[in-house]
Amino acid sequence: MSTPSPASTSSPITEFLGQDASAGGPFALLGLLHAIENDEQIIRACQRRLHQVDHHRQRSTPDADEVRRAIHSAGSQLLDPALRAQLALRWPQGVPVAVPSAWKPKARARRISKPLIDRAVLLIGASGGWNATARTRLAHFARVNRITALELVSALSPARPTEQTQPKNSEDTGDPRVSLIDPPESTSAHWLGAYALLVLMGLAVSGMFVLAPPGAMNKATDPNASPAARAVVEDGSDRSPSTSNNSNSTINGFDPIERDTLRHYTAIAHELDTLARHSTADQAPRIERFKEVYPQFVRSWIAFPDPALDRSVLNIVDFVRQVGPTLTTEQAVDDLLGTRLDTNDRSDPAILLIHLAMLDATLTDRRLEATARESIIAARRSWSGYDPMPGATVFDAMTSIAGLLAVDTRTDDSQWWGRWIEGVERATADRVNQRTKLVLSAMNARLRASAPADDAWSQSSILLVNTLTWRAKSEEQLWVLRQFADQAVNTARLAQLTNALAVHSSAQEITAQMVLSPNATFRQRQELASDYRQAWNPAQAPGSRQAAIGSVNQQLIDELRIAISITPTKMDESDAQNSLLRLARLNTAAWLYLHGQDTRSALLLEQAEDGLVAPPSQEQEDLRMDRQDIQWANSAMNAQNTPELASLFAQLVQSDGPGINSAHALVYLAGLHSDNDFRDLSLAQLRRYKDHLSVLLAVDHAVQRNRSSSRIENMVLAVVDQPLPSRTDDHWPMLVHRDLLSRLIQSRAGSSHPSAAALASELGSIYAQRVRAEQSNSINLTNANSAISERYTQLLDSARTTLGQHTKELDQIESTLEVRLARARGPRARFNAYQRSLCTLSAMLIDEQIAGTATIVSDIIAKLELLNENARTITEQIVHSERCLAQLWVLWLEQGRP
Amino acid sequence: MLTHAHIRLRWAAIALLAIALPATLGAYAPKPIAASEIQLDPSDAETYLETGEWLAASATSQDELARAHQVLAVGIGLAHRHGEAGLAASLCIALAASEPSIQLSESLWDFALMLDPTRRSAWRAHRDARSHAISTITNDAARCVWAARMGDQKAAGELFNNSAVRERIKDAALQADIDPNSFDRILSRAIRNHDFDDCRGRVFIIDRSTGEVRRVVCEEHTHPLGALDGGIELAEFIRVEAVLHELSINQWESAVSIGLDEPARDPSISMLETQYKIDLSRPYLKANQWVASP
Repeated sequence: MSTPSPASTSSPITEFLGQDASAGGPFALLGLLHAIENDEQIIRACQRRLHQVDHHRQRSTPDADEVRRAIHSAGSQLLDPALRAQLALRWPQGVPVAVPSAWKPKARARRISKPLIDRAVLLIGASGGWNATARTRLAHFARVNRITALELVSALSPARPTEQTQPKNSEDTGDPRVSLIDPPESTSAHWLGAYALLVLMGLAVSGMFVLAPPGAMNKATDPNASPAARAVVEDGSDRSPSTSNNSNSTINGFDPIERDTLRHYTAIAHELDTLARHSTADQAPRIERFKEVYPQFVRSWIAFPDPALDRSVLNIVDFVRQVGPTLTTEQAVDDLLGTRLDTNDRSDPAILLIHLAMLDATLTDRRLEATARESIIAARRSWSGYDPMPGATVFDAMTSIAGLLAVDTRTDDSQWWGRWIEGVERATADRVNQRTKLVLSAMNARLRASAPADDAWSQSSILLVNTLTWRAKSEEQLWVLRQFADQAVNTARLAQLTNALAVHSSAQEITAQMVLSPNATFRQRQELASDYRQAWNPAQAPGSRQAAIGSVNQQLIDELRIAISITPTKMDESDAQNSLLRLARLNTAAWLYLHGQDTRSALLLEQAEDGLVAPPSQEQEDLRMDRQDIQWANSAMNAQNTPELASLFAQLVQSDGPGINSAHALVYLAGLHSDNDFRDLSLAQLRRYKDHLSVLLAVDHAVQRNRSSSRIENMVLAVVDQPLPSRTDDHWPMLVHRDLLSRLIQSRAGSSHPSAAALASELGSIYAQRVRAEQSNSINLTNANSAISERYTQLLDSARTTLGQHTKELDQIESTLEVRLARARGPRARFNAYQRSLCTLSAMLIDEQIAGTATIVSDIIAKLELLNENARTITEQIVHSERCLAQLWVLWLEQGRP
Repeated sequence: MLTHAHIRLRWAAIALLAIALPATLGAYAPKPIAASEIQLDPSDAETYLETGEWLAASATSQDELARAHQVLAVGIGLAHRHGEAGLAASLCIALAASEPSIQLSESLWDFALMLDPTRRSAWRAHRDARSHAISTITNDAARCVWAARMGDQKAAGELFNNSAVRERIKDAALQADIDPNSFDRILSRAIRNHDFDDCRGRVFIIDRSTGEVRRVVCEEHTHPLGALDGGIELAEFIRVEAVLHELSINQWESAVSIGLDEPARDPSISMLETQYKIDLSRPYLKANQWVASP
């Protein structure tokens, strides 16, 4: 072998496999000729090359891995006969590496002289012609003369001179190495025939070289040019309008368009690999090439195995980033990636999946130029109305996009759904649960569509149904049962789905009779649902204990559905309180039922519609100030002894209580009078009237007007019923005023708004039943806020265990709650803050644990946000949140009891 | 001994310092940024953070500050749209730092935490510091209202002249579902009217000659001080005081009685759009105008 040139020395392929292997293309890399007889030959060649790499001194370096990958890639390409034929047109053949050393050309072949050839000819003649004896003798003769047998045979061939054993160019079909692959074995006629064929092939290929455009030939044969560069140059010359494209294609005997179409994924992967590696130099032709390769990639990505798909995605991301500076307009990325995609491509969901996911993957690269990023976002928006999802893996992005496409599409076209399913199956690969969720979400959306239940939906439903396994107790079975019970589901479309299930699917126990009539009533739907339940879950057959439990389950679902549907969005205080209690009781009944507390659950279910029991509100007490009040006040202030005062107090008791002047007099007597008896007597009366507004105002007045003293303190203690701050505190009057104000508000609110107090108490007792006693922190659970706080804590703990991988989302729920509590104005706002956190937590749990509910759950939460935004009072918001919880409980109940 | 030369030298040094120091400080002070220098890139919300902070620091007028706030608010919207929660939270905090409205500033901090839970410790530290600062004003506001009700014109008047106190009272009135301007007028009148109060807050006095106690509530006040007119006005005073004292801690009925019925509103992007008059579809700032394309 000749010494490698400096340029080729830098190539890992040259380093590991030698100069011949780096000639370009898979044939050279594997050391194979264009004529390959079987796949085994390719596999052996791969193994030989890998063996070479494995025994190289740098076998553990990244370069070695790179070469190994290249070998695998080349092997994959050549294993496809169609692709191999294409590649054979483009790339030179290689030098076999595994022929016996005796057959390899050596430099010393030059020592074959004319006399030696003459002696060999004589030897053949003496053996009676070209036969086995002649070959044995020739081999011996060659060994004796320290040359190889093949060199000798080649020298004997009249078609080529021995001087051509070291050609400059491997694409020269006069290469004698072509003959090395199949040494003659049988008859001399075959041997000579093979030579003649090779000579003819050589002449034909030489003709091609002579007639090919000189520019293309020169560049293609430049040993320093990379394979990709050669490919691009070739393609560019073929497409260039300045070249006589048609005449060339005619002369060369193949269609250039056909040659540009990469039919096998490995060829596309290889092209993307090459484009990404060399994208920094000579960008214009590479961008053009990329524009051709990218559409082929998105059209055939489904055929890519995972590693190849990952690598291709990375290559595309790299390529877009590297050509980023050229993407200066909003249209640039769409021109680069989408310009060669036609209308059909744009409506193909499988192509949309990968294309949008590619754009998202590209956005994830933080090194991307700002203008390029903007252009990608613009392209993303022009292709879909969804926001980009940078940061997700390409598979996750595809899964999300598939979900959105399925929910948003208005088509029942079976071709569309067929492609969607192909895309989803590839995107989800072995993530069966994910696939099930997507398909159920899709069917969910289509069942609620208003489109007619025509043949298109019939076909699509068959495709969708057959994507699922329909195993016993699988998610899909439970999902079907839910559809029967949901009035939002279009009966005619559900009928088509049952037809697909009964006639075309692998669903067990579903007979052809179990098809819903398109005109069925809701009751008939329920009857068929019962048949489905029995078919899939015989334990719930009528009469069994499970059936009884199942009926409670169904009753709860029905009651919840009714409560949800009759809860108004705008309501007055009374309506709100009744709706809230009903929803809260049903939600708690559902919780109790699912936790095995059937008796308590049934009791609450019975009480669900009970209204709020509260004492009638009293008319707001006005400050009485009439003649009688002033007169009594003056009399009391001028009382000379305790009997006189006692008599006045007796009068007061018989009247409507103290007016504002009487209250001031009473406070003076209780706190400021010099006589102890007067004070004690008055303090007793003060306690009697401690809830009176006038008394509390008079005490407050006394606190503000007088220096703090033990007498004042005693007087305040008589009305506030709680310890007071130390009188040494500088802020004592203010602190006492605060306590008095609190007492004043409580006393007024209790009488003026008894229903609010009753509601809080009732809600507290209802929510307390949703708290696991064994885990409770033994706080006062009859208080609504304490009970819901405990309920939230327990659910959060449970979610932290169940949703361990969603730490960030759970942290966000906690933070949001903390913010809401800090912003809350009053106890009802705090109660609502907990409710909303419960909604979010429950939604997360359902989404995680019940397949096919993602869309429903997100819809429920979105609806809650909307209702809350439009709510006029905090009470309305509380009702909306409880209604949301009821919707989520229905989803749990539809699963049945665990 | 200091020679004249030394003294002259010392004075020269002082003079030099006097000239050099402001010049040096001036060099470090933020310089106003020219409109043409503003480079905002909607694909990179960080440019909004850098520009917004710079504009806010160098703002010399309310208009410039408002522009800085708009830049930061648009940045929040864009970062949120790009899913960059951390950056959006930073923008919120930057905006809160220069936002003069306490309420809005609080909302921005809250929004930051809702976007990015990792800001919890910063949010708590800020909340504690802020609540400490607010508590002084709130206490003064509560004292003002109480003193006004009790006819202590001097104490109430002094507190009422503090604009922060007055704003806090209006804010409390709003929370209590009372027209803040109307309550401000009532309070103002209550403080003024006590100037002519003959009874000076007393209800009874003792006639020293006869020893008889008699009621002395003046003609100006049909009711004793502290009770006002005993009707709607008194109820409003009590509700505002209750809000200022944050009294409705646990009782639902108390909350209802003082009018705490407003729905809970989370801070959101739409809040920013309303407050700062921004439109996220116009993210470019050209010639001091927000436009849709660069």
